Amino acid sequence: MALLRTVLQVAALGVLFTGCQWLVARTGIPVPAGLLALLVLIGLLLSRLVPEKAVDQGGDLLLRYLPVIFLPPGIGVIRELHLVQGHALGLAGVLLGSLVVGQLVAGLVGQAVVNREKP
Amino acid sequence: MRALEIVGATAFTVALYWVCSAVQKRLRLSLLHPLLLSVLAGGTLFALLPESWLDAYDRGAGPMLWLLGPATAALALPFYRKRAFLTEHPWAAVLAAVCGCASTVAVVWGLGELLGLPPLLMRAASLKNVTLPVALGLAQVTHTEPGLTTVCVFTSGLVGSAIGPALLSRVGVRSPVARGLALGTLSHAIGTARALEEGPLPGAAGVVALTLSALLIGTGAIVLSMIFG
Repeated sequence: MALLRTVLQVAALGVLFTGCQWLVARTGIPVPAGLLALLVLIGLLLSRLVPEKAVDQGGDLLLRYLPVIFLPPGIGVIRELHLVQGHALGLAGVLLGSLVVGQLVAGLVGQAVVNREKP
Repeated sequence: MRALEIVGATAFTVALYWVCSAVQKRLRLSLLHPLLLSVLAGGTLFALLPESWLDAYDRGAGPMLWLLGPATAALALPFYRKRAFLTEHPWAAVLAAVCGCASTVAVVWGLGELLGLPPLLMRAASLKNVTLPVALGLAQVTHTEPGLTTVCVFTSGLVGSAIGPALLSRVGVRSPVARGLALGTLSHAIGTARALEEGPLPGAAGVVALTLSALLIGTGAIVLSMIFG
């Protein structure tokens, strides 16, 4: 019973995503269908039109095995290694520099706002 | 033939991840995420094989890749469960995510321009702090290579969660809320997992921050791609 419920919930999330794919193709809006599906589901859950228990088991299953789904595009990077040639050090510097600055800014801003919120 | 490719690609992917998870557990190296290890092992293997094998793997992995769509929608669940955090700290969450995202993208384009990086690499680096399923969708919209985007997202997640806590302590960020927001904004799910190790409050902040930064970078990328094509 639990297995059937999980399968049905994964199918329901698939239907939601397919509906968003159709909408994106039909209207031509440049929004990834997955991002649109995420926004729609947040809206449905917050408005209580869809209860959490209607998608929790299937959603949790997909999120648990998400890393496995990431593997094919990750392996596909070997087709694109030539794009990094000659820029590997520069890219590493940009990634590290922007990461450090972003983390510091987010942390310091967050702390400043939290301190102001305190009574 | 097609069914065989699907079964083969799925079995290979699951087995590779399972083996790499076991290796990571044995070595106990937190920087060696099973996914990173799997990408390195799988990439090396396919680099040694004829290219037609990688073509067949790509075709066979198609249905598995489709699951990324429903899985992206499922990210609504952790956000929904932690929504109370957003009502308790709305300004801290929104401002930390906005400032964190804006500053990191500004550094990517400023430093990238200075170092002469091609725009393709800067576009991929700009998506680095977006959770991977959303980043891959945005890569399609912004004509960015998905493999490159994957590497940038991993780097931000793994390096950010490894150095982030010490970095934040060094500059005096001790608030659990602020630490979770910083880790979630820049290092998405991997950073949120690290924030959870510090406690439930930083964990909740991380979940909210990763969703907000995906929405912010996503909106920015979509608007810019509409303007510049």
